[in-house]
Amino acid sequence: MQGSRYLTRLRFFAVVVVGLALLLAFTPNALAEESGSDIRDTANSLDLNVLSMGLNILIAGTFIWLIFRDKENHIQNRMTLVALGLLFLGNSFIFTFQSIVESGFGGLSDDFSGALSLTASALNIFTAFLFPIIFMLFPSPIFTQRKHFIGVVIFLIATFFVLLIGFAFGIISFLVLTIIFNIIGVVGFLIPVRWYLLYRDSDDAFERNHAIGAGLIGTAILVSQGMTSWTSLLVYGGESHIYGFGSGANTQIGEVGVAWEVVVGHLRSVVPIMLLLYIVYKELVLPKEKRSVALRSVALIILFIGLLNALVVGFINDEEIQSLWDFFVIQGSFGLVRPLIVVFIILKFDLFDMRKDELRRVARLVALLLVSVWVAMVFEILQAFLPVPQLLSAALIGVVLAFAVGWEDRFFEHIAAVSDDAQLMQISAPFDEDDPARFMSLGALIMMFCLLLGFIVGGSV
Amino acid sequence: MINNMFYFGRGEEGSSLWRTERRSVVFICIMLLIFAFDSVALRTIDPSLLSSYNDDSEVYGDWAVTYTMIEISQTDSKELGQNGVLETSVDWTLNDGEYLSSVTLIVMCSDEDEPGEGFSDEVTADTELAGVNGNAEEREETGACLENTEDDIVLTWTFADVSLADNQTYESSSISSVEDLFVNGTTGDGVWAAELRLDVVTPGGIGALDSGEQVTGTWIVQTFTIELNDVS
Repeated sequence: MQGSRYLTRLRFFAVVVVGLALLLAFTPNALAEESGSDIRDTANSLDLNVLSMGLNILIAGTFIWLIFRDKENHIQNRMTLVALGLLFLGNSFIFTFQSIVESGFGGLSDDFSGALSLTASALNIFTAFLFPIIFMLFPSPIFTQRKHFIGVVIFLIATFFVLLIGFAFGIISFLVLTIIFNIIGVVGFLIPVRWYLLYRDSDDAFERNHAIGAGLIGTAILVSQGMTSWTSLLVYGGESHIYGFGSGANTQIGEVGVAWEVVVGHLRSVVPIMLLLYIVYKELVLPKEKRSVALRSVALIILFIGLLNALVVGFINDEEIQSLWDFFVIQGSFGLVRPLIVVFIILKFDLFDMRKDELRRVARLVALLLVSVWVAMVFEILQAFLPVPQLLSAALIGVVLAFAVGWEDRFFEHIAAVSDDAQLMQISAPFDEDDPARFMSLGALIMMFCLLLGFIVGGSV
Repeated sequence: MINNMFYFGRGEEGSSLWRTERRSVVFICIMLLIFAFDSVALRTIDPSLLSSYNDDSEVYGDWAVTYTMIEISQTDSKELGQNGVLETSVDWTLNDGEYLSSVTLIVMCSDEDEPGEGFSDEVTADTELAGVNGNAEEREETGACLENTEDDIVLTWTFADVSLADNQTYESSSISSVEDLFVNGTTGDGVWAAELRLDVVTPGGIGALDSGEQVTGTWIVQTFTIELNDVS
């Protein structure tokens, strides 16, 4: 019986691998360069940046409001909300600065644009350093003692400052920066991977919840770390990463072979890709009673986007459309997909008390706003590729919203009902009641430091 | 302390360490195998073998620059009387890999029917550069048609100076970064035009002696191509 089950899994896996290999074989150009050309020329990227900015500000604001409004909430939930709130706040600043630079406002000075761009890069590194902290907190804190948490957070912050200042002033080379940054990233990424591997097919529902939570937060956070380029793993050495791994490594192709920065940087994408492929496999072969529809859907959608990515890059030769698509996949992954999964996690795992009327009212309002912005973004992307007139697009947004109003209440009821069974291990020992405020202040100070550094180095102040 | 649920080696009673940790071990082993593969394969592969390798501008090396100068010239000539105009132009296109070094307009006229230098005829060159790609400043200059002088007006527009790269080696640089040194020479082709106007200057009473002059406009366009030799 056991043998037959493994045989079925093996057959399924073989069919998937052969199918993908055939698909890629008939997509010769899928091997082509994935990195885009200059996205500044693409007409609609500014709109997407502005909408992403709005969406991230909305979510960050809501989380911060929830942290300070609902002080009766479990401290572990509040700490998770702070970490996620800081992540969305950082992203919202990144989108804001990118929008300002891109729009130009009728003539920004080079110094000012340079300062904003550098600040956005520094904030990008800051948000990457938040990933391990989020993974340490959700689905359940990995430490049970306060001193261990504080030790790890201090280590991360100190490393962030050393790397940022060292690189900005030319003390640390790009190679050192890449290696340290990616090693910390990879170790952090392995936290949700471990939760998922340990408990996904456990017979205990409580344990399984941790694996599902880890799978969801893993895909939400790591979707921007190369998950959508999963096809590159089937191509020789993840070839597309050599050409698509950010601007720094793009310039590091040697006469023979590629630079170490690229090799180490590739590892950063390998972990999320492996996690995605394992989640897809696992969610398809698990018995029905253990399946998570949400996680399976999310993983399959990301898998599908990755496949579409390879096809678009492979079959469409129009450089402008390719760069537009590339931009939407990269920006859309953490501007569009991540907020949606994170909001689902918050609701699903009761990170705030939905039974409180005041919180529920605000949550409904925010959900409606979120749906509006999200739908507008999806249509913005569609408009970029399909010649849909503005008027028709606006009408379609209206139709979708008409259906959304009223539906969100039922959706909330449904998730709240399900969340009664989605309990996670809660530990309060590592945290103090004032920790959310401290953590938030610390994050705000670091963001202000990024701004300062951006203007000192990038703005030639 | 590490959370009991997350702790390495935790297992149900009686279950072996391998049973609880085998997936994590396999996951990390595959990850390290890919890393090892990348380290060996990507570090040693010739990038030109990669199918997506369609641009070698990012190849790094120690580059020595050799260059070949190309000169295009065009001459228009006409005998002009008082306020007579000669329209002259040159039209060319930069080829791939070709850079513009300079464009020069030389105007010549020789006033041989005047009694002395103080009475030399004058020629004015007024350039019209609307048809030029990129930014080239329009100029207007007047010069005297001196006797026995080869060039009466010389207007030069300089773009990229390739001689700066002569005998230079650019170490640990990409091809594109070396090519960027000559980026100023990537524009400037198109239609370069000028109007050459003669002003006959004649002392009173002996005007009949001055019958106008032969005015010649010569465009000299200097372009170059470069070759990068890896000397590493």
